[in-house]
Amino acid sequence: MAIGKIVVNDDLCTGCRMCEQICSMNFTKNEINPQRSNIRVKTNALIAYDKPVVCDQCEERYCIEACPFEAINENEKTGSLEINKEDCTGCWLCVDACPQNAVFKDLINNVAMKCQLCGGEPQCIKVCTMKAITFK
Amino acid sequence: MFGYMGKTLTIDLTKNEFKTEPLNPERAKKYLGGRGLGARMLFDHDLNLDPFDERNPVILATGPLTGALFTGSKFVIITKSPLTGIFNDSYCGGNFAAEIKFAGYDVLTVVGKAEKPSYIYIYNEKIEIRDASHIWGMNSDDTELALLDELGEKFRVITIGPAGENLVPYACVSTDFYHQAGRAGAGASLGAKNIKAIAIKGTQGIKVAEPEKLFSYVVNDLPEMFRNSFFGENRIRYGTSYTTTSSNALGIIPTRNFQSGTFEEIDNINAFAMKERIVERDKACYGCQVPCAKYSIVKKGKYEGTKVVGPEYETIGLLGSNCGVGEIETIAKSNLLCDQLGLDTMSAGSAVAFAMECFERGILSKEEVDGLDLRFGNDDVQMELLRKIAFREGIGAILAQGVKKASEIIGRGTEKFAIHSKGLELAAYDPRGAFAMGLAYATASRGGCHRRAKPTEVPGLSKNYYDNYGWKGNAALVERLQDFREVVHSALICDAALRFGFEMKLKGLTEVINLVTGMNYTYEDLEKMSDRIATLIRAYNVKQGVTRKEDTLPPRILNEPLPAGPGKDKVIGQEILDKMLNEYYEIRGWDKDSGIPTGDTLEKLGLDFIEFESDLSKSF
Repeated sequence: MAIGKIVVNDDLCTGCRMCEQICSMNFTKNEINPQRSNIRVKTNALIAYDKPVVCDQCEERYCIEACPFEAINENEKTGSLEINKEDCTGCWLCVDACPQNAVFKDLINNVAMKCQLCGGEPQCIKVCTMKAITFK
Repeated sequence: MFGYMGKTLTIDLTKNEFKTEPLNPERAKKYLGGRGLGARMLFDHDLNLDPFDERNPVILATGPLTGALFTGSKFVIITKSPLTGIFNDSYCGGNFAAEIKFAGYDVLTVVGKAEKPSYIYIYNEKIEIRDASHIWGMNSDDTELALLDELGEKFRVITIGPAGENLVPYACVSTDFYHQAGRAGAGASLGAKNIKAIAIKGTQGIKVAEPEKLFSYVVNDLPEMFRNSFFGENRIRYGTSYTTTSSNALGIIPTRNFQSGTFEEIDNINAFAMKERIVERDKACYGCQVPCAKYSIVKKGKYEGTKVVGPEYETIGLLGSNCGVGEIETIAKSNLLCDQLGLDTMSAGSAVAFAMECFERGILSKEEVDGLDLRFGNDDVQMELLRKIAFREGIGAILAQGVKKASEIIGRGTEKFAIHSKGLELAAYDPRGAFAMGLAYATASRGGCHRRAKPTEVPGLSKNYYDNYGWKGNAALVERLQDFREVVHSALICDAALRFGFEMKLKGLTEVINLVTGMNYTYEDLEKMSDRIATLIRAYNVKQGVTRKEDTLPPRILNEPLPAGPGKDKVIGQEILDKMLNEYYEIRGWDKDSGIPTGDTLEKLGLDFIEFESDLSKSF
């Protein structure tokens, strides 16, 4: 069990994508790039509808089940499901398996990527002034 | 170069050639980006071309702060305006601006003309000019839907509507359906190049100089700053529509073609009516913590089912009260119609109001307006007229040229109530209730625009800063407000969102620009930069024939008093305008008689590459 999960309330999301920016900056340590974010806002601009897509650390663990290389493990401290870059081969089976579409492809390093709860203190929720994402 | 992508792209439509060049670091330092850099790049081209000449460049510029965590990201379209014949910088929010940078570019320059209707496809380094015959003729929304369907929803698209295709000189450019680069005809500028749309997608990241400090600033300080501001809180709750109430109270909301500054139906079009009756949810541009866009659905009446983001204040003022329309639902519909046709809601509203006054005064007969019953408040006719303008049919063909040219064509004394400055229709603030706004319109670099300085936004309006109905202090105030915008529009982030956090202080902005770019600008550097950019653009306009004579207001605004409201019976008059202008030119270092920047000023600001023909200044 994870110590908590990021809960999404799409009704409150304004599509500002600050979470994407902060996540990629925190994840890469040097760049703002939605392609390298572990949370991604799905948009239907015509009806001004936005929804953050992010791993909810589900108990079913489809990604772990799907990985033939045992590259995904539970973090002992936080309980979040984390991808070990050394073991990941970029086969994308976990990406396919996730029903939330919350595992992404890091095409620069050819490994899968997903939310790891920032070591227990998710940074994205701090910039979501509308509280569309919260940590519970 | 932190904050920048370090590359510019030139697309030559005639030769089907694409050229990528490194961003000139000297220029980036001197002009920052966005408005400043784009204006400087205009000077690389022939300055004497007709706006629709195919050699005339259309420049899409971002700035170092665009998409870099900070308060809304915008891009600017810079070109010579087909409406005014002078400098046009038209800004647009949404997601497109950040995507330009993710594709690896700071600036896109489009020159030449495509052989047939086309759209530009950009995916990082892959650039193509593609056939657009299947989308030519479609409205803006359908065009965007078709391209998203064709290319995938991760692409960001800007489009023009029928008005842009038909070269209506106040045609707009749209993105994310509801965000527009509205003013002064950027849509026609693209239409003249046979460009229906630009679709862009990138995978590159923006690197910043001080990631940790910026991170901490944005996470810890920024949300608090917005939340703890009265303006910020209201902007989040109501969007720009909140301005309706303050403008009506000041007596400056344009009503029936600026015949009055107060509107009897204000309670049906103000922020509270809008929030209660049509607003569904809040919407933000990329990277903005002030979600001021409002997604609205009309729930009753003949426009039931209309869905639109907006209407914004300027639209409420100019398509609403200025046309005598007193229902927020009707304004939502005409707003959507303009977006889809690809018309600027502001100039279009002003053109319709102008025609209505011509009709009510009996200047235009029913035959001359295609049999329409063009009374103020007749919304059916308003919608029909907007369509006629976009397709240049009948009376629409005259109104499609903007109120300045329309009044010249119609004649019969109509120029007295053609509400524009330098050919650009005024925004929804009547300067007769705040004289400084008059100076702001008269000196704004693209004509009658509120976005270069907006004295009406200064808190404590008449008490602390300046006399609403006098001239003292106005020049310094307007210059200061313009300077702030010069930097914000070059940085390039949203000026509307930003001011809530910084209360119009350049100092706070200096800190953030340094965190992103690592350039270590001082406050004085940015002050000088803002002067440099203002004078650079003035020089561009001088070369298009703008002098002191053109820095003026329409006769109605200058000479007629308002019939009601706090500004009742007050007249600006040429004398007060002259006093404000004298002081303004002195602060700017422009010659008082001609309004042309002096040689000393050009040299001091590092603009000595600019020369004016000697006989130009002698003629004054």
